[in-house]
Parts: sequence; structure tokens; C-alpha cells
Amino acid sequence: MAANTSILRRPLAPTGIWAWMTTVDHKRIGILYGVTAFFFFMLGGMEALIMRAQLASAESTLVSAATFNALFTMHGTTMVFMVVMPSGAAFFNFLVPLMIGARDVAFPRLNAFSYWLFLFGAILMNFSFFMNAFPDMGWFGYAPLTSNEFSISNSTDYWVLGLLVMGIGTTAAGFNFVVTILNMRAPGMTLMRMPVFVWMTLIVAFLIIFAFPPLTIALTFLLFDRFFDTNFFVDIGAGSDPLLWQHLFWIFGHPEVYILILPAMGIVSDVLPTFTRKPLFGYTMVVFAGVVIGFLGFGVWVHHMFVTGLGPWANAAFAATTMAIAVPTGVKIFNWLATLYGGSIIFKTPMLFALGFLSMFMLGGLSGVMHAVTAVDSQQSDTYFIVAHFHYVLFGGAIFGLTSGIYYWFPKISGKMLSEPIGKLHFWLMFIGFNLTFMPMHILGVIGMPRRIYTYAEDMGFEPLNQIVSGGSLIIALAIVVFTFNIARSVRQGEPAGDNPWGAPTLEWSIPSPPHHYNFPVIPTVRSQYPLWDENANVVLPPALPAHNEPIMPDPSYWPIMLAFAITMVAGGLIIWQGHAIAGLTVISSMGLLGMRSIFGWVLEPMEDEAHVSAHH
Amino acid sequence: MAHIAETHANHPGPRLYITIAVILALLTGIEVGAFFLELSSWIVVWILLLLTLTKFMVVVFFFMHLRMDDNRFALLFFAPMVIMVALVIALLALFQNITR
Amino acid sequence: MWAFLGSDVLFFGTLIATHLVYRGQSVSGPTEGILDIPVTSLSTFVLLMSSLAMVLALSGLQRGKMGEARFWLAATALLGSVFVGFQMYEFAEFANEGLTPRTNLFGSTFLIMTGFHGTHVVIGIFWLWSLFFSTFNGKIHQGNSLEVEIAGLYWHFVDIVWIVIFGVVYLVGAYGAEEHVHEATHSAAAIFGLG
Repeated sequence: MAANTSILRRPLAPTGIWAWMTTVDHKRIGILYGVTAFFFFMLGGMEALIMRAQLASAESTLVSAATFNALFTMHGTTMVFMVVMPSGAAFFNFLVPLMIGARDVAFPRLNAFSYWLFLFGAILMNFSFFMNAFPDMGWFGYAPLTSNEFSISNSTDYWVLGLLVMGIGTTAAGFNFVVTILNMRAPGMTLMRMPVFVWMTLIVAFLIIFAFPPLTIALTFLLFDRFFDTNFFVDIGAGSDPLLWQHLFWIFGHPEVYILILPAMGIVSDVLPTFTRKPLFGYTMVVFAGVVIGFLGFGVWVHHMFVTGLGPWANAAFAATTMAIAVPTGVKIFNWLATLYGGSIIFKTPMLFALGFLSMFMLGGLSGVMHAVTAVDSQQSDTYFIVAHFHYVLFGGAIFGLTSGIYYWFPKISGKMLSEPIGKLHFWLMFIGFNLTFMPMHILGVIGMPRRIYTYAEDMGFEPLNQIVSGGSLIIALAIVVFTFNIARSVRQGEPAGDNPWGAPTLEWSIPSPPHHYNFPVIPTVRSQYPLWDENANVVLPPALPAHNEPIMPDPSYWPIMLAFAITMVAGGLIIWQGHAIAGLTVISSMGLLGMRSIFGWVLEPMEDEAHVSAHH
Repeated sequence: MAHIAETHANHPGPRLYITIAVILALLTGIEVGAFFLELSSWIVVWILLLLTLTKFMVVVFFFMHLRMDDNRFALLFFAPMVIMVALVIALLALFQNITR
Repeated sequence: MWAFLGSDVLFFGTLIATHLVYRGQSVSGPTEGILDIPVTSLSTFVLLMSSLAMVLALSGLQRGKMGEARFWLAATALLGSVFVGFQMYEFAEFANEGLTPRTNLFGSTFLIMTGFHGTHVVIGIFWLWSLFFSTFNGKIHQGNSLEVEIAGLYWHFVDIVWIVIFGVVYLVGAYGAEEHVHEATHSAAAIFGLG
């Protein structure tokens, strides 16, 4: 039976730490994800800047090789798992219910649970820094480097457990969004009337729930190898094959990169129509291409392993599938270009970043197609050419796209506009800095600079280009400072936004900025892809409901954060157990009990409010 | 969450379920029997795989009621199965271990 | 729940795939020959019957027959426990005969895979008992039989995973097991001769 809830149940209106810790409101959870992701963006960026400082000069001794290993490991892990993914989650959370005309997601407490697991898992992993065990085996943790024999400190354990904890949260969020999007759309909103961003969220949610299990298993196998001396990856004498790790990791890893990029593609697909004042060209093809990319994404993973000696048949087969996946991506790019053609383009900041996305992602895609050719990849593998490729698609692609989304939806989230002039400054600094940083890396790769080296000899000829790269990274840093300033300033002094400052067509712009906690006063009936542009199908809503008529929304709950905490502490307990068995077991068992208690508390918590929500659909 | 309709007009009764259970038990019996037979290994392997698949489908469609439910559930379940089977075949090929 | 089961398909699929990939590669130690098919056939039968019990429990609840629902819920949980009992007996026997997760590839992959399956069963048993007790305090009744249906989906899924493991890993795996022990040394040498 749930503990007496009279003290802990509160209406949504009050703010304060406790309200935020127990919130189940998708809008607040979205903001939590966004702020946390931004913090980790700073952290990952620092890690990058230190690396660039080290590499700016030949034979530099600014940081040791061991430190450098930790830097590139954590930079990668942080950016992938603690920045880009949660930024996508921030957008899904805030926007999807608004875009489909719902009051919240299907499972609000599960939603909160996902966020807390993300935060606690990220803290667990970064906590290792204070234990002198910062992960240093590469963000993809190849065996047998991660075995007990070669990775003596707890760094790998923190990495594995941090990822497992975060992974549970991500997978849960995947379920939540599949169910929300399939079941909670407003009347009249067929699948083919959803904003493209919602479609991309749906595909990403499927990718998450199908791609994370192989990662979970791979991490579990690694954990068992390290903790219990099993033989999955590490004992060649017993027949284990370290390559199995690579296969399992990349079976997850490749769909993961589509998880990273599809949200940005969705954002751009919704930004472009607004700023060209015409509908997206070829909506159906863009959606279909997204589905195909998601599906094919499971069939290309070996292209990360072309140089592991799998033989000509394997290499050829996967080279073919990799080239095939370029096709639907190209389809999308052409559709976006066609959207621009003939439109009256408004060059505001969201549009600038969307255009930046288009061009930079295209460049990254081109280098990607080069990698698909196995023979060429043999030269490019493990050089800076690959680093250039994935930064063009992940930074030039995902980050630019996400930034476009921030500028576009900031007014809706906060009720204030971000400053246009500062935004434009941000864009140009970022665009110039980004290209100065990553374009020379293509050349560095081709002239032979390997990845993950902490320094290089004077006579290699790498220094001049590395100096340009490092200089570019400083410009990126400056751009981020400008961006942070823009946000901080606009939250206080920004121009009030009104409901629809951009004159955009989709449902979220039909309600006030920021929205009421119940989102829509009345659930609209939808008859078009662009409800606010369609005179015949226009959606006009009353501004607000009187307080006594407000729909009953799910109440806050402390079980999600408690369960997330318990799970994280069990993971931490495992690490403690390695050094101090009794202490570790105590932590594991007590936290395990807390977890069980939380599950029962959660399940038995009254759900009448939820029933009110679903009754509308 | 009103997607699973409770109006099972043609809801099977206990008798059908018991029949299915008996069929499943029989199939298992045949499987075990095949295992102990001295036939060529390829025939036995294929019999076993086919019987496994049949039992699997019977439970999914009848006990789990998929036959009578919304098609979306079938999609949610069978799409990953397709991916999984493809992955298993690919991995076996990559590790050159198809010789079962 | 179907979305969760779809995801779990990949979870178990990866475990089974790893086991299959490593089949025949164990350099030393017991492999499929150690499997006791007659005993496992019995436990498989028990689990299958538990699925029947589950379906009968749901049917009873949907027709408002609380007594039937309670009886069959308890039966499902008990049959599940019998299955788990068989599994624990089997694992203990294997340990006596020298097979643990540390022994070799077969040990690691087989025991972790069946271990995860067993854990899923145990979670299901907890869930079933919770439902059982909830029929007494009015939390589970004819009107919210969906709760039991969802638990049923989970339970049947755990059963079909076992159907696959039994068919592919036990039966196909152990068929002609003696031959595979000889093959193992040859394949291992071949693969690692190539580095």
C-alpha cells in the first residue's frame, strides 16, 4: 500500500525543488532533460577543448597519454549518451503530446523514471572521476582492452554500469513514446497527418526498443566477464572471440547513430515549412524514407568492422547494404531542397541552423558513402578522416538541427523570444568555427594522422593543420558562450512570444506560450497536416479554462525518482562489492529492497487521474 | 488506453484452451521422441525446428490471443522477430558456425 | 506490453544467438552432452501447462468467476515455481559435474541465457502472486481483467522463449552431442590459427 500521500501529493502549480523532483508533467520533464543535456554539453566540450589544446602542438606534454585516453573516451560517451540523446528526449517530451493534441504521454511516471535514470546513471559514470577511475577504454569499449587483465582499475565497471542504468531509462522512454504516439493522437489525426517530427520520434522509439537489448546483453556479458570470470570475450584460450563484443556493440551502435540523427531530421522537416511558408515537399516520401532508414539501420553494422579481417563476402555484403542506406537519406535531402525551392525564405535563426544542418549533414553523408567502399575504408579507418565524418554528421547534423529546434521552440517553452541578432552571431561563429575545426581533419586523415593519439612527432607535418583545428575549436567555444548568454538573457528580458510568433502550422502553436499544465483547453479535432494554415480545417481554441473546469491531470509522484535512485545504488553497490564485499552486499540488498518497495508503491498508487486522461481518446 | 477491446464476442472458452494445451503436449512429445530416434541428423534437426516454430505460433496466436487482436500488436511483435532471425543468421554466417 | 515483448525478443534473441555462435567452440569442459533431455522435457511440459493455467485464470476472471480465477492464478504460479525448481536442480547437477559459468564457452552462454530466462520466470511468479492476493482486496476484479491479461502476455512470452530454447538449444544442440566435442577442437584451432 502506498505510504500516506497527503503530504506528498501536490497540484502542479507550485514550483520548488520537491515539485520538480516529483513531477510527471511531460513539459517539465522535457525541460529537465534539456537543461541536463546542456550541462553535459559543456562538460563534453571541455573534454574536447583540453584534447585540442594538447594536439595543437607536436610532442606536447600538456596532458599524459593516460589522461588523453580518458578524455576521448568520456568526450565520446558524454556527447552520445548524455547530450545528443537526452536533447532528443527533451524535444520528444515537451513537444510530442502538444503536437498530437494530447494532455501528456501514455505513462507519465515512467517518463519521469526515464529522466531520473538518465541523470543518476550519468552521475554514476562521471563519479568515477573522483575515484581516479575515469573510463579510458574508448567510448565503444572494445574487448579485450576492457578485460580485467588490461583494464585494471574500475573505469570499465563505471562505464558499463553507468550505461546499463541510463539504458534502462532510455528503453523505458522508447516504450512510452511508441504507445503515446500510436494511441493518444487527437481525433482526426491519422498517422499521415502527424508532424514529421512525431514520425521521426516514433521511428526512434522503435529503434531504441530494438537496438538497446543487444547493448544490454553485450554490457552484461562484459560485466560477468569482469566480475565473475566468465568467458564471453576475454579468454582466447577457452575459445572466446573478442570480435563478438564488436558485433554486439555495433548491432546496437549503428541503429544508435540513427537514433541520434532522426530527431534532428524531424526538427528540420518542421522548421523548413514554417520559414519557407510552404508545406514540406513530399511528406509521404520523407516519412517512408525515415522508416526505411530505421529498418535498414539494423543491417549495416559490420561497416564499423571492415578492417577486422572478416573476409571478402562479409565486407562486400555490408558494403552493399551501407550504400543502400544512403538512398533514403538522399531522398530526404532532395525533399528538403525541394521544399526550399520556390518558397519565400525567412532567414531567421532557426532557419539558418536548419540550412546549416542541410549543408553540413550532406558533407558528412558524402564522406560516409566513401567509407562504405571497403577498399577505401581500409585506408580511412582509424584515421582522422573518420573523425571528420562523424563530427560532420553528429555536430553539423544533429547538433545544428537540435539548435535550430531550440531557437524555434524556445518561445513556446518559455514564452519569450531568443534575441535574433545574438542568434545570428551565434550561428555564424558556430558555422565558421565548426568548419575550421572539422574540415582540416579530412586532410589530416588522408595524410596519415591516426585517431586517438595523444601527440605526434614534429616531422609528421601534422602540426599546421592541427593548429587550425584547435583554433576553430576556440571559436566553437565562443559560439557556445554567446548561445548561453542568449538563453540566459532571453529568459529574463526576452520579447514576449505570444501563441504563434513564427506563424507556424502545427498544433503546438495553437495554445499559449508557455502552455497551461493541461496543454489543451479542449482536445481539437484535426483535419489536415497543417491545421493552423488550413482555412477549412483551422483549429481555434479558447484561451484558458476556468479553474474549476480544468481537466484532472496525473498527480506528482516520488516513486519514479526513488526507484531510479535504488537501481543506480544497486549498480554502485556492485562496484563497492568488488573492493569491499560486505559493504557492497549491504548496499545491494538494502537498495534492492528499496527498489522492490518502490515498484509496489508505484503500481499500487491510485490511477484515477490517468483514467480521466484516457477517457478523452 | 482503450485499444484492447474487452468485447470478446468470439472469446474462446476453457475447452478450446485445454485442447490447445493437449496439442502442445503432444508436439513436445513428438519432439522428444524425434530426439531419441536414430534418423539422419538433418531430418531430425528440421523436424525439431519446425515443431518448435509450430508450438511458438500456437501459443502466440491462441494463448496470447494475437489472432483476434489489433494488427498493430502483431507488428510490434513480429517486426523484431524478423530483425532477430536476420541477425542470428548473419551472426552465424559471420562466425562460420552454420554447421549445426 | 507487446512493445515490451518485442524488445525482449531482441534481448533473448541476442542471448540465443551468442550461444549458437559459440557452439562447438568450447576448448575444454562439458558441453551439450551434459544436458538431461528427459528431465528437461518434464520441466518443459510443466511450463506449457502453466500457460494453460494462465489462460484459464484469465478466462475465469473475464466471466466473473473469482474462485476459478484465484485457483488458476495460484496454479500458474505454482507450476512456474516447479519449473524454477527443476532449473535449480539442473544447475546444481551441472555444477557437480564440472559445469559453471566460468568453465567454458558453453557454460557461460548456456547458463547466463537460461539464468536470465529463469529470472524472468521468477519475476512472473512474484507478479502472479501479487495479482492473486489482489483478488481478495478487490483490486483485481472482472472489470479490470486487462491487468491479468497483460500479466498473461508476459507469462506466455516467457513460455515461448523456453519453447525456443528447449527446441534449439537443448534438442538440436544436444542431438549427436558426442560428435560435437570432437569438432570443437578442430574449429577452435582453425579460427584462431587465422588470428
